[in-house]
Amino acid sequence: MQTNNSILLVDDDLTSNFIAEKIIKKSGNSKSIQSVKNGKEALNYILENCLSDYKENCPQIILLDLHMPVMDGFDFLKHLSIEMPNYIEAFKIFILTSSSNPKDVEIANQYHIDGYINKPLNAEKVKLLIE
Amino acid sequence: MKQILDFFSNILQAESWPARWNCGRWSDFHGWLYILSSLAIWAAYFAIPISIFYLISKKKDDIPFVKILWLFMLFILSCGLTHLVDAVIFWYPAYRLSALVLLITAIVSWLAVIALYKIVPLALSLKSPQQLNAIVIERTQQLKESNNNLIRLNQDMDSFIYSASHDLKSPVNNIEGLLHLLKDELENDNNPEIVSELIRRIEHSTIRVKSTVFNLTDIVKVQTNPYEDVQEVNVRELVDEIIVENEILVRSNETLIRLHLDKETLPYSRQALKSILYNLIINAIKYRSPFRLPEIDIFVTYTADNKYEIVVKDNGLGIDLTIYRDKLFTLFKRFHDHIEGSGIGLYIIRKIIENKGGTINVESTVDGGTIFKIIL
Repeated sequence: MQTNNSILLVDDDLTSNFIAEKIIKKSGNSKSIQSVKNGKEALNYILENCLSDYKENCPQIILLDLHMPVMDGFDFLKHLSIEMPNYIEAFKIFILTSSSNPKDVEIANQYHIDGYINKPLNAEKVKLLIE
Repeated sequence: MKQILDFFSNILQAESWPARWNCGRWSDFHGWLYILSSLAIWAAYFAIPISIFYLISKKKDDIPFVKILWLFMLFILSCGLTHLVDAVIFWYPAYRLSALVLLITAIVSWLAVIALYKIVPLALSLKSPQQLNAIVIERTQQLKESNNNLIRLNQDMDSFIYSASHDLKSPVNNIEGLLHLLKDELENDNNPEIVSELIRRIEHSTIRVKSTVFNLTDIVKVQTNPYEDVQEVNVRELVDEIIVENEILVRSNETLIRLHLDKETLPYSRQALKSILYNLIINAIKYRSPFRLPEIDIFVTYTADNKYEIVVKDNGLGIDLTIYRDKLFTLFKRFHDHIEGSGIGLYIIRKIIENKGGTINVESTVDGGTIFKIIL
């Protein structure tokens, strides 16, 4: 099992981030977990941490909520695929959401994503996404 | 009187006159021309009502003015009868009967004239098949439009339900996740600090569920336009009331609220106006600029076309309308993430105003402030 995955949580729900962080830490599968509150912050984070030579904090896995203020998950995926097309494949992107709207799945699937996870995150789901 | 009695009692008698053949000099050709033509007219006048009768019996419900048609049938029949009697008189000179038939025909004819006169305006208003066709096309178009509206409403309803379920599920999912963590913590490390942190977060999420349910109730309520308590509302009093009820928020931000009122009162539902002003004032404070104290100007203007315009202007963060204009008044959309919000305030305001036939518009400068213009 890999233990060097660094993970970026993108969610405006701070409690949800808190839970995800705890559960991922407990699973012992990640060396670093960062969280940002919306798509815009996530893009900035990626710009700062993935484009330089020093990629220590560049996430391998992105857990992305869909409905967020400022920039939602869909716009994040759109920007990422347009502005950093070479990078999008480098990330494992999982949608982590409470939404059960089939339209959300449909729109998200238009982009490069690796999976769709319903909240709440738990140990089994973490195991699945790390593998 | 005696003549009349005599007339009717001898109605069929023909002795008093010679048969028409014997009256004057008829050539065979002339006589038979008269007789056969009269019979032909009678036969035709007999056939026409039968055709009309057949038509009525087949399409009774589709033909207008059926009563008039019955009168017409009678009229044509009696006209035909006069020609029959005219022919019969060549052998059987029943001139009394002939006069009676003429009288009946005269009466029926005039009844037809009167009836026709009465229905002319109505008949003129009837639509021609072409006009009816045009109406059908127009109505079909209207039906299509209202059908499209219904489809859109249905889609709105769908997305409302998904949004509502998302907003309810988010804190419930958090509670579920937190409870798992709490159980785990209690079974293993049992660190009292972490336990109390988890419990605090569970409490917080529970409050979120509760307030989401309250918000949903408000949203459902506003759909049915409940604000019927229209009265002369004193705007100054109303704003004071909102300030008093939210004193901590207003005071702690040192908010300055200025009123510029054309008229002190305006006719509206007090509850609805309070909801509108409350949401705009609270938003202006919540989304204030960190670099200046919040200032809110409320203008009430009585416009030239007898309407009330309310303008609420703040000096807050502003909204980038080039990106968010379409989403501004939609449900559960939030534009700032550093402040807790439910994303329903502006939606509710717009619903209230539009339900009452008004409009709301917005102008905004990022980091300059926002102006909401409401026409009631």
